[in-house]
Amino acid sequence: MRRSWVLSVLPSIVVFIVLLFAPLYLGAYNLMLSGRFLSLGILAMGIVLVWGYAGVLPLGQGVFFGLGGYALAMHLKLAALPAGELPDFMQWNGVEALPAWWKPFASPEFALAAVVVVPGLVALALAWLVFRRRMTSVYIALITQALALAFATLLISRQGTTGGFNGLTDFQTLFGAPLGDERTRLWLHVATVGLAALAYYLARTLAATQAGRLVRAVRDGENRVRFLGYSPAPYKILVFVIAGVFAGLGGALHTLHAGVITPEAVGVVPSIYMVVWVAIGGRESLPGALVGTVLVNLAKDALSSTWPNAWPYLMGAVYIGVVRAMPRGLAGVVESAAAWLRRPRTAPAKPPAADLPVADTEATSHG
Amino acid sequence: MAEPLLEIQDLHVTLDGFRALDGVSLKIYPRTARVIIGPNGAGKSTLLDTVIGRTRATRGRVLFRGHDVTHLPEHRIVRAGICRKFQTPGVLEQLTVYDNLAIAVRRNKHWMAHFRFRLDPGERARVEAVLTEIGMAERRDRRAAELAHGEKQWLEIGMVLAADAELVLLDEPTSGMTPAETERTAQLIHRLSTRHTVVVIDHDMAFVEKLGAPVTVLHLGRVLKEGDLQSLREDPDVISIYLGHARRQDHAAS
Repeated sequence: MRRSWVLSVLPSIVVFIVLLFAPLYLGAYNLMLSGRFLSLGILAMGIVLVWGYAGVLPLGQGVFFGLGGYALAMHLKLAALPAGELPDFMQWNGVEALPAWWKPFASPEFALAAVVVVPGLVALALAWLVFRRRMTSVYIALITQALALAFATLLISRQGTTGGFNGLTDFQTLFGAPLGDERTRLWLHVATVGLAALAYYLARTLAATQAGRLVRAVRDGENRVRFLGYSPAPYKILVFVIAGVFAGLGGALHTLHAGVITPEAVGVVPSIYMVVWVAIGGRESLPGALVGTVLVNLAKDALSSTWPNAWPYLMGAVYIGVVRAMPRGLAGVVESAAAWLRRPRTAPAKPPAADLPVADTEATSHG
Repeated sequence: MAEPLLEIQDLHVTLDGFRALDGVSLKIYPRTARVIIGPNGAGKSTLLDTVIGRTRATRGRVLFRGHDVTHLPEHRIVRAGICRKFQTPGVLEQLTVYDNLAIAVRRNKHWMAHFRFRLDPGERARVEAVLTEIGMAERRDRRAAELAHGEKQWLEIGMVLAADAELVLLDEPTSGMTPAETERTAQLIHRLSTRHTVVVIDHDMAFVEKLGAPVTVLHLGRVLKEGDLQSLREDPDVISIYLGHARRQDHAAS
């Protein structure tokens, strides 16, 4: 038992250590990419919890990503200013005083807390509404999608206080340290790998608890779980909130690595892309989602500058191909391959023929 | 006699304008077994659905241990001590046999009680006992989806056993089972009714006969007759609506 646990956790530890030492073998540009993709990977692992484990398709994770990203970006904007001055975009838009809801973000502690608390609370409020009302996955997908649209529209329309279409950018310092500095970059990298590892082990541990088992049970048969005496809503709310927090954290880290957050990164289209990364990597696999996110974004970085118009079509084609040919994504392919490799050594004999299942003719007529 | 464990008072259920239950009253006493029979559409499954909260009564009440549970949410009815086995095997397909039982066995069903890896020692022992009882100790790590239909039925019966509810509702527990499995199920229900209260719906007259429990006949959403199977077989009303077919078969066989 203990030994198998060590064996199961070992590969991930090796991977995270290798990632930790990335500055030794990656150039500045690639290090920035790895930081960005790992940040997105944290968000992707949240989607595994909600979509893969709980069976609820979330099409608005960009909202939580944006809440985390904007919370930190607001602080970075204020931190770059001499006391009493307004951020550049506010001046251009004729805003004369700092809006009240901006003020607390001058405090780094407040901003850091807001990065996880704000997305967490919004996710809690939304999950509370939809899951206690027993909405089905389709409606939840539509509602979250609509929320992403509304959020992006709101950001664009309030140009004076949100930076509008251009978003928030041109950050100078992070908690007093210059952002362009190599040392700051290094610490940022270490923090990103550390938080990605933390998110991974947290999600993994949760999945291994009885609560994790119930999350999957609710996906398989919500009514069955209910008729075993459990209320399914708390488990769905739980994973939705964790996914919201992961997305917020990913959004904040991504903002630091990319140096910018815009409505274009939080709306409907990016929210759908996020689900696509996870579908490609494997929606029931935390490592799969991480790998899928990194691979797709690497491909995007390499290809979209060469053929920017072809990228969405390519992405769509890959998505359809994955859903058709490998519903469990890359992780499913790896698992099948591993099972196939193990087979000949263990059991040369054919397993005894099982009793044929008897068709239950009553099953469908039951009301 | 003692207080009834389950008391159904003048229960009416209308499904899309169809009167599925039309004034059913029933009393079921602790540690007894009861069989409910009736032709298709008589309201047998609807009756159990209404007890467990899956279907809501348009009129009438369901009392469990004297408390009105008619309008409680499903999981609260279950927590009060009622467990239902459905007609279609309701196992959790993507979970292992062990995990299915582990979910059924937990006493504390509050969500905050589940942030831990292992069951209590007592619960673990109970899962092991049930695994042995349903003959699946070696298949504990198989996913439920890989089981044959009869095995799924057994697994679900195992879940009912693990849940250890005071009142057990079984909807056609033997559908899809071989005669040998049916026999084992009948023995199991016998044993069950010494410690629990059991209500069984079934079509299979041979199986009902083996159970040897009092029978309630439902017809068109009403209780037609109550009694033991033998006297019901002689009853002209019952013969005309339901047993006639089975009786003719009996005569043909003898």
